[in-house]
Amino acid sequence: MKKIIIKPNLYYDSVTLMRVSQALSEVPGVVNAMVGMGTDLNKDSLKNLGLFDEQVEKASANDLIIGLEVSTEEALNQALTVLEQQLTKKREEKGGSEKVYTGIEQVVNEDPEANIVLISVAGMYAAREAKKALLNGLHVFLFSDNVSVEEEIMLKDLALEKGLLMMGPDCGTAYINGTALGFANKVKKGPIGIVGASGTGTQQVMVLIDRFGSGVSQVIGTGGRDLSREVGGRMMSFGIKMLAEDPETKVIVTVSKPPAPEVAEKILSLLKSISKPAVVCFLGSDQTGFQGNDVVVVNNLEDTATMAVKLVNSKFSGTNGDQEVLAKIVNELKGKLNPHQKYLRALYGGGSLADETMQELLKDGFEVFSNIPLKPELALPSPLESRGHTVIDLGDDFFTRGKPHPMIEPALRVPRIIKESLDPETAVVLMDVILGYGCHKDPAGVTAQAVYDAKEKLAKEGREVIFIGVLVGTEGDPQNYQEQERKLKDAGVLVVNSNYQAVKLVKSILG
Amino acid sequence: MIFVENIKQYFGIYIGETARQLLLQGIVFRVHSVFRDVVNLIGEAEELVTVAKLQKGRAWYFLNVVPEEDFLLNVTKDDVFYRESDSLLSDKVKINFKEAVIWRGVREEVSKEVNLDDLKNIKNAVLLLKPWIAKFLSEKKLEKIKKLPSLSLEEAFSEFLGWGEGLTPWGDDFLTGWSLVLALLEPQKARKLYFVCAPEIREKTNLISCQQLLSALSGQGHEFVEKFLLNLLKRGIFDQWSFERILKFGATSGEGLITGMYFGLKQEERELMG
Repeated sequence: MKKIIIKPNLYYDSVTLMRVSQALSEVPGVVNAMVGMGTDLNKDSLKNLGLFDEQVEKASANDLIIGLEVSTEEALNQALTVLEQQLTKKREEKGGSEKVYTGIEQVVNEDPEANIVLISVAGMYAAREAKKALLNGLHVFLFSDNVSVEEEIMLKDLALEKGLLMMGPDCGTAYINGTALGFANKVKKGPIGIVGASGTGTQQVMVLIDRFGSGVSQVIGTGGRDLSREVGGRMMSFGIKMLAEDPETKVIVTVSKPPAPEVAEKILSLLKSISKPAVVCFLGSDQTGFQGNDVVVVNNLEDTATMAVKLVNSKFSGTNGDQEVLAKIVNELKGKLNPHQKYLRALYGGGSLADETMQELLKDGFEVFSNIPLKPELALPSPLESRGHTVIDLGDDFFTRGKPHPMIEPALRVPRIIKESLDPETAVVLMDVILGYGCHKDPAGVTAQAVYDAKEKLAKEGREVIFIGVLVGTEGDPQNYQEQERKLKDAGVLVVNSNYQAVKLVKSILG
Repeated sequence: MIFVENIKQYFGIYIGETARQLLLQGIVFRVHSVFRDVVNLIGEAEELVTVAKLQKGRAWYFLNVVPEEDFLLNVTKDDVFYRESDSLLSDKVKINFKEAVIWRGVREEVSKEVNLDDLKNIKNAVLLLKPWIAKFLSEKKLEKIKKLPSLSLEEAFSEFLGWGEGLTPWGDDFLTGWSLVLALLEPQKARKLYFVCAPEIREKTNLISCQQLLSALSGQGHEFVEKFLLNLLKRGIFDQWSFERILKFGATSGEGLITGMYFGLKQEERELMG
């Protein structure tokens, strides 16, 4: 039974419509469902599905078309109820139909209350659009990369002149007034403000703060190049000043790789001049400890969150995970490895987590090869082939050129997980599973399937490999943290909530 | 010449062994049918490769691809696909299957000759499935089923082939479920049936049904179906997760498959009990 409905002059964006179609296709008895605007492309798709008639042919790109093929009357009624719920929900969530704007100027004219714009366009257009937004008085979150340093400096100077945030280019994470921009987790509101030059690093700190019982006021992203000598920490400094003035923020946290020395000095001096305590995370830095009374430098993400929460709540014990239980598990797992299995193979979607792992292992004398090596001599000749201990950043350009980022499409990592697992020298396969807005809806499910497959193949060879998963997420994230954790555990993955803990496990297994 | 840089790219994550063999042969395919989550490609000699979203599960003739958003949205019926190196190309999309993990089923050795436990499991499986079967059978289907006890296997195939409506007619789905049970418990009988019935199967069914049925007689089923059946027989577990996913196959395909499995198991039970 087929049903075609046309709703004239009713616009929804393609992402919403895909979700509505998905919800309809999940209704029992629905054979095919397609909801789309009356574009030629959608009409072709409807034709292919056999959901085409005269009214579809006449529909314009401004009309919404709903095509349904169902097996029973009951299924049709249920599908129509779901359709109405989905479409109304969207309108209610948005407080009205979504609008399409032809440009930033139109947004400013028609929606004067909007004060921030997320830009995700091809690099060659990114600076131009960001500049337009700044000139119109909007804060900018620039997701796009491939923007030159000169353009970045120009944009940030313009933003500073106007007292606006210029987050990016290549900014992955921000959380402004409870709204996630880019990849970010749903965290509790609280007294800790973060300025981060590292996307997944910032996410790891946010979720640990949440797990430790505290919360976040604002998360300001800067883009990974902000603390370079050229850019000089322009947006990190501005972000710190904003948090200093924010009455909700009691403790300031910064997250980045170790910057150029003069930039580090600038950031530390600024923080020391502010009357709020601060935790500075320079990932992998040798120089840690208190810099004056209220500024402490740490070099890993878990210590960053721990220290920030301690500054808010002196009673916080700072322990994460049951070390005794983990030690027991590790001993059991070690016994299952044969003498040839001696290497770590880490497959990350998050570059900062990959970096932290390498830094931590390096401290203990591990030689770790990578596509984003800490030293030139540790560069892999081919990112596709591991050697010895290997840490791969699958979010690096080499892997993402023409492909979705692994945080958006974790299935792309599946073949590599299986390949590394089957290498006779592999002892541990370490993976991050990142939850939150912007990420895949079921990253653990996809990863767990790969682990099941790998284990099945390994069992035939009479071997086992230790799988460790770093689950970066909170109970509030849309993916359902507990469900994601269960999927990984069911597949036999040792799940930890902090990358630092994962590295400690790796050290105790391979050390 | 096709400029692949301008066409939408997809990436194979899993590839069924049958699909892999066919792609490696360099067969030219055309698009047979397009659905929301799967696209069926047919080769020159009517070989089938199904390009599917990951969520559709794996099968011997499936190529599961990502990204799932905008899944092969601009592919239309009769588009031509051909292999170039490790990719399947049309003038609209490129599907790179270089790194796809090969899938060769979840089948384990299950033989009714092992011991009485298997009979116990078969009986248990029949009992577990029974409450559902009544829900799946309309009066018309029930009439058809009633003829079964008086028919030989070959006759049953003739009776049910191509019967009913849909992309895969209900009768074909029924026989697919039955065949999988047979191939699992009595592989020799299934192989014999394959050679006897293959010409009729090719003649009476459509391309998709034909591929499904011949695969089933070779013991090759869809991931969810294989899992469900093995859990029933080996572990005596009613695998609700797989069951729910099977029920989502087509409009009534899942029901047909499960009904076929049930009657196949009943037949095995009867034979074992003498």
